[in-house]
Amino acid sequence: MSDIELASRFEEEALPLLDQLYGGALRMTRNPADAEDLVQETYLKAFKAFDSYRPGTNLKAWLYRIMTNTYINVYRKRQRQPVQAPTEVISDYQLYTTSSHDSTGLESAEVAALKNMPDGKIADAMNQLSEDYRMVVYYADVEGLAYKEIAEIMGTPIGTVMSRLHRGRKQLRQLLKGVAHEQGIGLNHPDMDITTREESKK
Amino acid sequence: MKETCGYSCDEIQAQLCTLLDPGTSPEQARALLDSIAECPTCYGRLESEREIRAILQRCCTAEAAAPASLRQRISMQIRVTRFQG
Repeated sequence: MSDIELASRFEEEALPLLDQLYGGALRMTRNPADAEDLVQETYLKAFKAFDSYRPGTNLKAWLYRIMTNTYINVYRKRQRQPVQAPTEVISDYQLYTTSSHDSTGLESAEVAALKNMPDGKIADAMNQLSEDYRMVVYYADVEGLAYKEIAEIMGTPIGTVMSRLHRGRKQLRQLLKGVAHEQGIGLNHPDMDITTREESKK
Repeated sequence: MKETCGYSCDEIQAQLCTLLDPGTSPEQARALLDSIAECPTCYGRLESEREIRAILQRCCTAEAAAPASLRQRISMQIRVTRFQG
């Protein structure tokens, strides 16, 4: 295939994925300015490497892989956001999730409250997850990518993807419960005792 | 804690996630769905889980329209790179 053909194929196939890549970059960087830079750099790298892309395989996953590498190698170093706690650090809400009533699902009243919440509130909850958890949940539950594809994107074994996904989903649901709770939903539910726990520690 | 169907919350949640995973075969999904549908609590959780994912998708997609200027910059960059060889 000639360079011209390759270039027009890239424009036809890769450019329509721009919104999705930008969405992923927003989740990675949590900052629109950084997300734009990251996506631009990703597309440039992808274009230069496009002859190594195997047609028929998942182009979106291929682009995400390049973006993840770009982010790790170049980007994270000069990030405008403060450095995050590593995945392994056990936070209050993790302790909370492993407490007696180990509920992962949300009550229907909580779901109803979240439906009416401004989009930003939900995105904020997502942004509170540590990076590894946040991205794995994003790829699986927002992008609908298969475990195998996520493993390739993140450069980890499938088992790691599954355990991060499990914990990430769980943490996110606890955070979302908290968001619903701020609206006064489910105040009397035993799951919602976060504030009481916080208070009692003081 | 066990639900009326005898499964724990974690087991139910794991089944729901398998059911909703795109890698799960239609036959496996059907079998899971049949067993989940037998218990109203589990079925309710399935509904919740589906709705939560829909909310997440809505929120993440809502803010994810790439700025037109970014699209233009990338298009331009591709053309320039192409001509540079």
